Amino acid sequence: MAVLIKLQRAGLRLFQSLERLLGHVFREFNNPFYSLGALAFYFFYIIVGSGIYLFIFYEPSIKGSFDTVDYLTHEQWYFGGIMRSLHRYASDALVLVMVLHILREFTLDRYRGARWFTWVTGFPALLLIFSSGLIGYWLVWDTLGQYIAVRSTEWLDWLPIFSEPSARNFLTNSSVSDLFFRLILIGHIAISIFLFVALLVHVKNISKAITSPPRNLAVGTFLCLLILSLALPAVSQERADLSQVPGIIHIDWFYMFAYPLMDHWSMGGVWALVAVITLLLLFLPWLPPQRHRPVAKVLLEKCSGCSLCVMDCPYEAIILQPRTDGHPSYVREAAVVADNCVGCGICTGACPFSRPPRGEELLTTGIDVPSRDIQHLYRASALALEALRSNTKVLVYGCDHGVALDSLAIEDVAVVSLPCTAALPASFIGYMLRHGADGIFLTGCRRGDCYHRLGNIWVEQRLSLDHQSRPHLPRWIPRQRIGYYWAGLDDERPLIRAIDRFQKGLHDFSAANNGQHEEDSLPDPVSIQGTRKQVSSEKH
Amino acid sequence: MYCRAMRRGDKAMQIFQYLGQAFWYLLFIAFIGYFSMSPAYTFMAPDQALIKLAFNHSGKLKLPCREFTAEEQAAKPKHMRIAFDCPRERSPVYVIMKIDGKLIFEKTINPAGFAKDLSSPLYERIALKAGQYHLSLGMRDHVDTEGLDYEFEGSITLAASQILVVGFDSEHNEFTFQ
Repeated sequence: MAVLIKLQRAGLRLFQSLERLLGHVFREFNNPFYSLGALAFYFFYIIVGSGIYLFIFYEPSIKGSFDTVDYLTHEQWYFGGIMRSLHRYASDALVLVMVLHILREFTLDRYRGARWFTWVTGFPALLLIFSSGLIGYWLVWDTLGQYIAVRSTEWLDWLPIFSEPSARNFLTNSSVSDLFFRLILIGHIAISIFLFVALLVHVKNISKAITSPPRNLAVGTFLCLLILSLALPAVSQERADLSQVPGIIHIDWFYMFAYPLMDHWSMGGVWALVAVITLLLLFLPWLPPQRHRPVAKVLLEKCSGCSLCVMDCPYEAIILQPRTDGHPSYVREAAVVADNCVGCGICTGACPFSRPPRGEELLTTGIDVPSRDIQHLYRASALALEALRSNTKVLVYGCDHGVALDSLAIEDVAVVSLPCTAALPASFIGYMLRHGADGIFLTGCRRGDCYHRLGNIWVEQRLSLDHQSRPHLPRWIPRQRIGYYWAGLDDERPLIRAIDRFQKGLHDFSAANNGQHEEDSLPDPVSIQGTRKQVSSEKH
Repeated sequence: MYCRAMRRGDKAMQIFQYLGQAFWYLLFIAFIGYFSMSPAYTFMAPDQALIKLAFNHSGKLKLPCREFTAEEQAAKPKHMRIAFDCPRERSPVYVIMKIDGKLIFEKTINPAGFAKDLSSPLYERIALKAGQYHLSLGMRDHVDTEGLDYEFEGSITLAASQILVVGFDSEHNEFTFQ
């Protein structure tokens, strides 16, 4: 397991560096690494679109298969040829983004707990992509198709499951019939349909799944494939001839990387490799170190069934159901699907009942995560603030998956880490500003790359003056007293600079307002968990 | 002045971004374009040829039929009484192949099926350099046979990149070459 963890960390460093580099170039929302899954869907759509055109002309027969593909490539190069090339290069790009997507999710540790379903259901999609791609090469019936057909069946025959070796179907040219091509064409299409279903199942437990990349990225990648199709059109190799050995072959390494291993190892060796990869991929979510996250809990007395937590949950972990407590006013209540909950606390941040204390009442919320509940957040915030001795008190809220806040080498700020920054209720920000903090600074994962998928989007919407549909920061709170910066794990220095800038801005703002805040007239703070701790409302 | 400098800075940043994007897109094109068909893979050297020894031959029944004894018949229900007991299990097929007197392949293939009552399938690839060879083939398809039931001795010529399929015609009990 130690090797796995080392690999994970090394991979994470590599991805973070690459993502930062690409973030400068593409800007955050167009960063290709943040849209790998969406790009996979997009390339699949290109494959389907171009495949439909090829299907119109394709003749599934021994002679016709090669001839029709050759006709499209050479006689109809201006469209059919481009379609063929797009079909091929989009398939290659699909494998590339899929592999990067798997590696990235692995390095970011986004496959454990409730995420196991999404991880595991990605595996059938992976198998179907390779199956469909390889069968697609058979359809051309050139020497590459011949090689793939023969070696694939020889590989399958290694397993003692067939009473007769299936490779015998490719012994001589007369062994192959037109029916065979009809069957594999149907197989190719059927697998693609299954693949689409598998992709839908893969994103089933993800709310607001992003299945189309940002427009700029979509246009950019499509142009790339188009340029490649024009500059280097996909062409057939020689017509298949089962009486001849295909000697030198231009194989597609994205799909056929394992085929040379069949020649240099043994069929059993390749099966062993596939078995190890399969088992590793399937059981990775349950390998140590296990992290048991608490599951959110609905507090019915404060739940109105407003559905805001349902809308904001990134994991489809909250549903609405008929009221179970006979409440006279509310007909619905939120309920947590424990298997889907990762304990991110975003629901607490979304709940309009997540209100600061009033009078002697403690902090309240309609949904909370045990062990990281809202009381815990309040205590941590108050203690952090109390420890500050500076004139301008800045409270930094971050998440467990961004820059390690405890190690921030910056003075005059108090830090509190949350499972996700979006777990911080908007009303809480106003409350802390009224009760000791001069400024609130929020940080978390990079924009578009939130560990909990949508956290930083929700935070920005809650802070924005434009989005009023969800619990938001009251308009009367000056936005100059609030700042945020989304940072990757290795973005410590840019984060420190951003906090520094925020502090300076805060000084200027305070100076301009002569050190007076309009909230100073608001009621004094109240008890923290029974102990009356006065958090000074005096500023400066 | 400040605004102009800002605009210049923004423009420089924009140019940097466009150039950066062009670089990454070119890298994407190059990566996909190259690995889509390169480097070429040499499956077999051009001077090589391949013999595929492939057939599906049913071995003879392992045991002959025998008549049930009167006691055995009496022990059975009336509707299940038959005259002969004919075990379905077939003999394994033994195949041997020599090229220029050198043993290249030798295998005993068990019949397929849970009751071992199906044919014995064989599929074997043997790579050789192109050229002329003396081929010796032999097969035994009955457990009681000493030596071989079927044999072939002869000369074959393999052209470069040729695939020679060596089969067995069970109807005429002879090796075939395609």
